[in-house]
Amino acid sequence: MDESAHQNIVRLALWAGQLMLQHGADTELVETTTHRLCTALGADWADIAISANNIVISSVSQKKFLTKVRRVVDRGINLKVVCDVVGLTEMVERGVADTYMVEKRLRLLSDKPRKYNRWLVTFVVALSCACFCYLFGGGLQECAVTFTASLVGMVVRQSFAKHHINPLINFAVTAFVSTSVASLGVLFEWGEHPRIAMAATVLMLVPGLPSINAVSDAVEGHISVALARWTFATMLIMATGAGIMLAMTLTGVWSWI
Amino acid sequence: MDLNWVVLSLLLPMLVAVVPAVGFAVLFNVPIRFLKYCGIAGAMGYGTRIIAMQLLDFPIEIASLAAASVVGCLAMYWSRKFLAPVQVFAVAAVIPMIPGKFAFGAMVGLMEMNLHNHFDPALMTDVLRLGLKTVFILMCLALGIAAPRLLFYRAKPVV
Repeated sequence: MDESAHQNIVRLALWAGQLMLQHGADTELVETTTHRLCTALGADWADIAISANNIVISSVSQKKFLTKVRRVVDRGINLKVVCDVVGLTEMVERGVADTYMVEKRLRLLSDKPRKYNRWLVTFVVALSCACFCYLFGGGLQECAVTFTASLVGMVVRQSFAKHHINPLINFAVTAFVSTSVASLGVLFEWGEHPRIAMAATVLMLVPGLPSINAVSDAVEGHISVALARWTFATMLIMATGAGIMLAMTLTGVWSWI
Repeated sequence: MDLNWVVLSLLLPMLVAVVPAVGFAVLFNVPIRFLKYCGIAGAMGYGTRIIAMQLLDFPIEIASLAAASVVGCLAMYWSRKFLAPVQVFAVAAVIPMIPGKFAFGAMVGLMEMNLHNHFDPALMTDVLRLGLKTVFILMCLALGIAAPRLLFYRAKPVV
């Protein structure tokens, strides 16, 4: 294999790793998948170093080393991309796909990632929050309040995300709006325990995937990435808490739980 | 354990927990052919937690660990079968068990301490209790998901 082919392989593997990290894969998975992709495409060996927001690959082919770095910018959670990259690696290992096909697929994944319809997501998440309200012991009226409040919140969140506004600001504003709507239930005394609706509404803002990724990274020995992810998850929770506080100060509905 | 309890306090919450599991799977953009597995895993996990907490009187952390282990085992089986990462099935399934209420309660309590300058023991105890619960439940959930991989696939990748 000549040097330009090796460079191409490292570039593709790096791109695949970057896509997975950007869309919410855990570090162990990124490491193994990138290594497998690199060796399956023809390199002799590949070492992968991942830190908070960049990925480094150092690959060997015919006793020549090649090292490249790529930055990782968070692009929101999208597990379909992660799934597709893993599937692509499997195809390369079985000899069904070559470098040309890998390039084509990765281009498609990074330029036009397929997503569910925006309004479907909004509706389904609002319904989920209403179900949380039921699980916490709320009645039908509380569930209706939760549904409305999370619907409004999700519309705000989606439109902010569409304009690439910082996730921390996004979460704070969304928490403010949805808590304000949900606290109307307390002010007008809809249902028996209207405060449950306030607690259930903001559950759509819990950073579940980042925090689970953080702990599983720490367990598997990627401590620095785990710390970075844990910090980010805590920041998101704090931003949401700030939004909740602001709304409670405005409406005067205190003692949240 | 009578039939009434089984239907009202076990099966109904299990069914209701399917909705957030699938809903958050849609939010995380899980491929459409895997959505039903997220729902099944979510129901099984939530049911396990109810049984562990109400029948066996386990504390919430141990119950979460057991529930997440069930989810982790199911996810591992499907992951081998469909050659997709474990996360795709497992994370959305544990979403109904994530201690969001505790996490936000702790944060709001901290801010209240700062804002109104009152540090009475009741508030401090509340913040500490909620914060500790959040951290330990989260760790148990993540450990439970990772458990099959840590125990059975020590040196080779799952997918």
